[in-house]
Amino acid sequence: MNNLLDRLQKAWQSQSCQELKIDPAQLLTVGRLERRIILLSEIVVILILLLVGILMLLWSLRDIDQEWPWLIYSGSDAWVIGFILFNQWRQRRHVPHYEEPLLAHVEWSIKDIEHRTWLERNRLWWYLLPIALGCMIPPIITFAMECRTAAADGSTGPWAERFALVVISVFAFLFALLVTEGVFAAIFYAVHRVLKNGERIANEKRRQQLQALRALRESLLNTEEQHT
Amino acid sequence: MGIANHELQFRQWLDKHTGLLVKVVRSFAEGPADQDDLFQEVLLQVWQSLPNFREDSKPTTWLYRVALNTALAWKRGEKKRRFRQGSLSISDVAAPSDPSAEAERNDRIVEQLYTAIRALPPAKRALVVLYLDGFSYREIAEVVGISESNVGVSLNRIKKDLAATVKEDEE
Repeated sequence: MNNLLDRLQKAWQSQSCQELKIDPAQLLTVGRLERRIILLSEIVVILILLLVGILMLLWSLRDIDQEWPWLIYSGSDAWVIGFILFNQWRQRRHVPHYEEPLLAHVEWSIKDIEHRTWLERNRLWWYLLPIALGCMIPPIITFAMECRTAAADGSTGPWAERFALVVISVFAFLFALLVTEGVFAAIFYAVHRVLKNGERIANEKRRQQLQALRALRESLLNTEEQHT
Repeated sequence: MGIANHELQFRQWLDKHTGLLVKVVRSFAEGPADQDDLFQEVLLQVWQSLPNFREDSKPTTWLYRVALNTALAWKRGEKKRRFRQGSLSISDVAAPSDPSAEAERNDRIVEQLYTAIRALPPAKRALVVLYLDGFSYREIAEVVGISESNVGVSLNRIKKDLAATVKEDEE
């Protein structure tokens, strides 16, 4: 058998001298472009959030006594930007090292997929809820303040007028609240549905990847167990 | 590593070691479309990982690690880089023309080997590819990350199967 194996090795090694007939420059261009696209998409998202957050901050500072509730939006925006940056920093620190031994790389890939699944599962807390609360709470406070002011303005007139003003203010508040919050809720529900569909597909893909990686790890480790 | 150095080293390694990458690709992917996809993926990964090369291992060991890790993570038929198709193909790799009977026989044996290797589970494919390229058990253990004795146990079993398959085909 040894002779046969030697012949196989010799035949295999005879194929080592091969060269690339074309310049890989095109591939390198695509590689660089891919990196730039990923970087650019992250920068665009952060810039949009930053821009809206700063605009809201300036709007609040313009009349801080009246518009202070919009500071909540800037705060929630800062939370999301902070989380995106933290996650990017974490990802850059935990980059895959393809030059690591196979077993170590498989372990890393399993942890990475588990982390991404956890991140997706908790997206509500990191992205959706802060933005949703940032959009929904300020109008509630603003309407409530408007109603209180309107009711207070009418406090010096006859009792019937005062009563009517309070009732109108309460109804105006409830109506504005329903319309505004309804619009926001519909937008967030639509976004949630779209993301949920994408998540289902991504989860299935990740589940298959995890299954394959775990099988690979098992097959590498089982040799060890059988031997010991 | 500067950009110019990075590109220069990449090109130099491709000139010397393209054959190694092709062997990994053909051991893990079947059919021209899948092989092109994996080949591009491997080249891109080598390019991206090159700045991490710390010269504490031989270039061939390092290249095998990158190529095998990429091949093990690659999923058949996924074609995640469709737009790159046509930009670089495994058919752009040429072996020096050798019309001798010996070379023809070697080509035939290697084709049989590829078929036999692709029938193995992925982890075992990695071991065989390294063994066939003349890596010692210690070097294989370093690349795979398991103990040297385990490499021996696994390979002994695989070698028997491989020899039987190729022998049967030859008969």
